[in-house]
Amino acid sequence: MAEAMRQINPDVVAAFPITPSTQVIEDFATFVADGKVKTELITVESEHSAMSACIGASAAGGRVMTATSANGLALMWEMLYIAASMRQPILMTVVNRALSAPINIHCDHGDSMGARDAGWIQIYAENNQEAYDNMVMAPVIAEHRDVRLPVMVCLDGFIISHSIETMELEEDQAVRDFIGPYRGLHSLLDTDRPVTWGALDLHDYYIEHKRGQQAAIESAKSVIESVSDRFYRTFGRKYELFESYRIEDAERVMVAINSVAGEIKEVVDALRDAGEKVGLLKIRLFRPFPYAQIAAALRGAKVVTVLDRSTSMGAYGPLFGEIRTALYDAEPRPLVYNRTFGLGGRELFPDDIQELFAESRRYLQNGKVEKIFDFLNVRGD
Amino acid sequence: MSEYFEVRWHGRGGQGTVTGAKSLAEAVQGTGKYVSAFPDYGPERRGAPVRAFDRFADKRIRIHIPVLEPDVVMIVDPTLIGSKSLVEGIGENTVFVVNTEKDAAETKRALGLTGQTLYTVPANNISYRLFKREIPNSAMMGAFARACPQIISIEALIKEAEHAFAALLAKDLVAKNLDAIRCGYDEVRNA
Repeated sequence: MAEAMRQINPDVVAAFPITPSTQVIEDFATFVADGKVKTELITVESEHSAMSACIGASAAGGRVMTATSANGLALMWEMLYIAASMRQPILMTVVNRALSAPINIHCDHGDSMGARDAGWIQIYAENNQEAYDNMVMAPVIAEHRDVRLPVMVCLDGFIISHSIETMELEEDQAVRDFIGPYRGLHSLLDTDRPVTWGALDLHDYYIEHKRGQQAAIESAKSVIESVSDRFYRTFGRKYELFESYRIEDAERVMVAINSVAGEIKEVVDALRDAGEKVGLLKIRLFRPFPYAQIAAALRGAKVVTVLDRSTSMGAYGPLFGEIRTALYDAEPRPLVYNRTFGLGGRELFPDDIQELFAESRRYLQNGKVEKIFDFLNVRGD
Repeated sequence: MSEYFEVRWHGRGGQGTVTGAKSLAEAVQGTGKYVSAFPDYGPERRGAPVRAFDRFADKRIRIHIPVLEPDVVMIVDPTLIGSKSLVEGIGENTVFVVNTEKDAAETKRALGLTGQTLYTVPANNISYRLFKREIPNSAMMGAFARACPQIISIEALIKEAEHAFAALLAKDLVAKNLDAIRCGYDEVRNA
């Protein structure tokens, strides 16, 4: 991610270190110290200040980036909403990590899922290649005139962030040509055309501004499709709003986010070899959520198992809610159920995924779901 | 997951176990294979048991889970012998590379091995000789090339490790670590 940041060469980075995202900023700080980028690096005293500085720098017209995880993201909370509502195209790497308490440094998606209503575009990645590619696309999406919204590029803490993997990096110039220069609109520093940012907005206009924001994030879907298409034509790696892995004729489909998709693909291949009609739908874009496209892709599926790596205490998992909503109008409507896994870094092994597919086969045969919601690989039953 | 060649390293915090696994992966990647390398992170304490993993393949590696059934077990710290985790998931063909000056047959007995192949290398000795302290990881990499020439030859390892080390270390340390790799390779003993 630091490499992508170096290639993007933003005007300003403001950040505060937190495991497991620390290395991103540490490496980037080296690039700054070595003169490899022209970035103004602001080391701040907290994540709240980091996001505040990003918002100020973005309103001044700069291209701005940061990175964080877990409690750091939580400390940004107030400013996340302000960044999105002020339509600042800030780019942030979120290295997914479990929220305290109990304190835990390992992966789950509780941090970014908790921020899903903040108005940021959220793009998820299975591995380092996808995280890098998503970050190269992020400024083009964020800065598009119809969008102008901040983007979170999310990847799994430790599992991905602290692993070495074979991947392709593109040439600096090719990346810079792909992204293009940035000129912020309505810069605070443009004294010839003075503007006010973040003004008071009561019941006379607040809801109109929120509707405008909703329209902007909705339009991000088609922008992301066209940017991904241009990325494919430029660099040869294909991305859609979500990845359909062997789901064309699948009766049983698993839906998941991030690195676990790799393990699921291995199991899907093994079960396909044994003649089972199974597949995977991997989420890439979670905000805005592509309801209609996902419903169309899952047409024909009879059982859908939704895996959430986070909890919404007192409710079903956040991904499950979206998938079920997407499928409500499907005719015939598939069986849909929810499993929570991997909180605080608990592994999900291929054998566990095999068992899940065995369970979905039973549900298919019986025509009903026995348990709509459950935790996987957990003690205390 | 048999299409992956899997290596599990066991060491203690401070011995460069994680760096060893990552440097080996970078070197093997240089030969054109797909690789992944990652540690098993717990609380980071000097002296606490640490595991790290490598996967090598001729296709893109899609799994991220810890290595359960290793093709090779690299024991960086012999004081870990006796811990069950060292022999977890091993098969008849699992190869062991152990940093020890003890006799290979004795080491096999201590590990409770039956038919498996085991190589010993006095990596601490090499490390004290070259660095005047205990950083056995480079010598262990050399021993790996001796145990698994089908994954990487010693010539390729030296060539590729030079690139990997150059990004991390000063010039004199690069040269010393390459020496450690060579000594590790040369001083391997087999049971």
